[in-house]
Order: sequence, then C-alpha cells, then structure tokens
Amino acid sequence: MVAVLEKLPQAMPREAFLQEMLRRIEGKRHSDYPMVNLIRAGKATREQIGYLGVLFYHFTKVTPQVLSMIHSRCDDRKVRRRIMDTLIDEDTELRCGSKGHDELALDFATRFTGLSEDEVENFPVPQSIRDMVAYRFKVAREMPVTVALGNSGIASESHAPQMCRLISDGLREHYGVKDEDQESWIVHIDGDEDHSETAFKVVLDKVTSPEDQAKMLWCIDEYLFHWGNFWKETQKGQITLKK
Amino acid sequence: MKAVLRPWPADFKGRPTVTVCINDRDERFAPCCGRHGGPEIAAALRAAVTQRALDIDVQTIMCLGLCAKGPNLRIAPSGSLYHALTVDDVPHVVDALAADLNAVKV
Repeated sequence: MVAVLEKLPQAMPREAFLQEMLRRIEGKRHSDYPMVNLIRAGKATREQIGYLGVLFYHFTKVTPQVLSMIHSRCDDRKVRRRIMDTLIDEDTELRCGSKGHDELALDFATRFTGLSEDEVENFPVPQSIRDMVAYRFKVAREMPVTVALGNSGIASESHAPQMCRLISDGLREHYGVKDEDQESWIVHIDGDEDHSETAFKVVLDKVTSPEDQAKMLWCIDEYLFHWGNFWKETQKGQITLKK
Repeated sequence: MKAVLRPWPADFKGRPTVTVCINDRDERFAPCCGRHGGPEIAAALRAAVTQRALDIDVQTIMCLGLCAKGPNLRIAPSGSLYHALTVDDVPHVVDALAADLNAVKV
C-alpha cells in the first residue's frame, strides 16, 4: 500500500468531491502510459503485447469473484441489481457478448501468443500483478460497498474505453489482428461508456461522509498506483511467444 | 437506423475497417445482432464494397458491447457507429463511407 488514508475534517460538497476525484486521476489514465501508445503507434514488440494479453487475462479472470463479493455485501436492492447486471455481463454471454470477459481475454492471449490455455493459466504472474489482484479482493471485502464499486468504476473503467480503442486500433493497423481475435478490447470501447457515468452517480449520491470520502480517495490513489505498476510491467515483455 | 458519426483521425492514411456484429445467441435476456440481420448486413456490405471497388476491409465480430441497440456496426479508426441497421440501410452506409474516404484522401 502506498496511498495514505487521509482524515477529512468534514465532508466535501458534491462538486468539490467530484473535482477532487478527477484531479487524482489526471495524468494517471491508462492511456497516459507509454505501453498503450506504443501499441497504437505500432512500436510495441509482439512480446510486449503478448505479455500484456496474458497479464490482462490474469487481471480479468477474478472480476466476477470481486463483483460477487461486493454483491453479497450490498444491502441496497437497486445497487445490488446493477451489480448483478454487470456480473452477468462479465461472467456470461446472456446479456451481452459471446462469452464471459475472462474467456475473451483468454482468447486474445492464446491467439496472439500461440500459448495454450493451460500455459496462459499457469503463466508465472509477477508479484506486482498478484498484489493488484489481492488489492481488488481486499477492497471488495473490506471497503464500504459504494466505495468498492467506485474503486473499479471510477479509478479504472472511467478511462478504460479510450485505452481499449487505442490498443484495438493499433492491433488492427500494425499487427494484423482481426477484430474477431481482439473482442476482449473492442467490447469495452463503446459498451462501457455508461459504466463511468453510473459509477460517478452512485459514488456522488452515496459516498457523503468524510470517512467514506477519504476511503474513496484512498482507493483511487491506490488502484491507480497498481495500474501504473501493471502498465510498466507489460512493457518488460517477459514472455516467449509460440507464433 | 441510427448513426453516431465521429471524425477520422487527421493523419489517417490506411485502410478503414467496417466491423459488423453477427452474434447469434439465446435472446431470453437481451437481443443479439445475429438474429436480426447481422450476417445478411455483413454479406450485403461485402458485396457493395466489392462492386464499388472500395478499399475497405469488412470484418465480423461476435460482440461490440451494444446488444440492445443492434444490429450494430463499427467503423475504424473513426469509431463511428451504426445501430438498428437493416440490409436496406447498407447502400446509405457505403455511400457515407465512400464520401468519407474521398474526403480523407484529398
């Protein structure tokens, strides 16, 4: 943990809280990291992209469990229903898509690297990514439900569509990846645009005490720190491709 | 048909891609493009692009993440979207694409 849990003297007004959250995201969006722009420009190596694919799978595969944990702790029927809808989208093809998002991430990783599903599954995941996954579970388990939702929706998903678009365009234009082989990125470009708005609304409506606002700001700082580690790790390209 | 049109990147010189969703799955919980003309729209687009000798790559995908709005197609790299498409809309889409291509390549 690197972020400091601040003690706010009093609750921030809605607009001030929103601006404070945005201020902390500024300069730390996914698309602010070199890796995303290297792919868009066709300057990333295939190893770097393959490594990204494998690590992104290991990040994505726990999302249904993280959401389930938050869902199980949620007392608000309306919010719980919204979590359930997202969980169905993440883990199944029932409402959207052809597969769960972990399977789509696995498809991209295997097709780009040539590794088998077992090889991707058993890939030695670096400590920084394991720390990130552990952080996600910790937040889902211990933070107030709306803060836990904001952790993902605000600190990551609010700026994920732009990242997915840059990666997808780069893969298509410079690496010859067909759209059907990179659905894992494409499905988030336009499909997730309303997630951010929803997350901000829930957080601004429900996270109103100084204690919870401090926790929300801590989560944003901490999750962005882990994402920074994620993107820096992907640039190492520590994988041997089989195609 | 509904369109969300976005500008082409200023420095774009490559070959645009039109990606049509053809996902065909159980519709108990949400509609899917594949059961409302997705494959036929993709075929009509390919035929129209070939007939007019346009330098456009027509691809298919199993989901664009916009199931409730389908049938959908996406144009890259502009990011423009067409929703609620029918085969009858294909000539209009191709006309718009051809016009865009001319404008981009001037």
